[in-house]
Amino acid sequence: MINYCERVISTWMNEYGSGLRRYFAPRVNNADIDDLVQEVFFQLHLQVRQQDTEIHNPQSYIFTVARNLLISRSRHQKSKSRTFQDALEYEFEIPDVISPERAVIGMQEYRRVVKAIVGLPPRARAAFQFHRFEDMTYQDIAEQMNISKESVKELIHRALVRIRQVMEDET
Amino acid sequence: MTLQTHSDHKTQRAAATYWFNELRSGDMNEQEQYWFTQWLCQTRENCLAYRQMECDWACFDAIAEDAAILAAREEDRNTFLGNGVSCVTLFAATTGQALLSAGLAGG
Repeated sequence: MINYCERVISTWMNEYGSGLRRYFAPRVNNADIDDLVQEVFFQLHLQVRQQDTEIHNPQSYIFTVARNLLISRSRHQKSKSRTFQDALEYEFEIPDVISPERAVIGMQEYRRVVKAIVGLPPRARAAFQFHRFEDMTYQDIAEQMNISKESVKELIHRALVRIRQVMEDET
Repeated sequence: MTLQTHSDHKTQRAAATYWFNELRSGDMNEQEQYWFTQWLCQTRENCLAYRQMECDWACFDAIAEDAAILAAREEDRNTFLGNGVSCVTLFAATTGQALLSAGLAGG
């Protein structure tokens, strides 16, 4: 399975790597192009491993991932550059096989995850965030929150179940 | 051919979450690691459910710096970590008090 993934991804890198560079070039700083290309293939790698199915139209798929990456990036940098925002709206070089519905899924998913986490019950949210975002171990969290390690496990379990549920319910 | 029902899916998801959580807690002993591997290889659905879990976990990186998440992180740090008094609360409290005394003195 892993070998299959590696093989597929390396074929795609050869085939679509330079196209991706050309796609990113007018939209981001030169220094960021390599990182973005790498991020696209990393995400594809996760997808291929996860889906366990053949992707029939890799070109459409790859450029959709690239576009979603730019969109989520623009959220973080939205105040920085107006022209960057404009560039996102401009569709040149994106193959027309990408449906608009497919292209926004990344963004919707992003919003759903954020909403799910923010809306968690307070203690479950805290335990989850401390472990995931503040790099705290279960033991650290137990000490800081003054609860047992088992309770930390329960809180994190609850958080993970809730997040996945929200994501599936709203799909 | 077996039919994948909704409750199967829920059970797999719950089991995947259980194992994922156990692994991250660092509490798994050798016997449990063995059971975990057994479960993982038992069916393709188990394996997919666990991958989904790993994928969710990786996806959280993308939202870690989102404004709403940053606010929630700060709120939780202030509520549950350290001395429990945030700079914002302290500022609000002192300013409030200052305003109150100013108001009382003025009135």
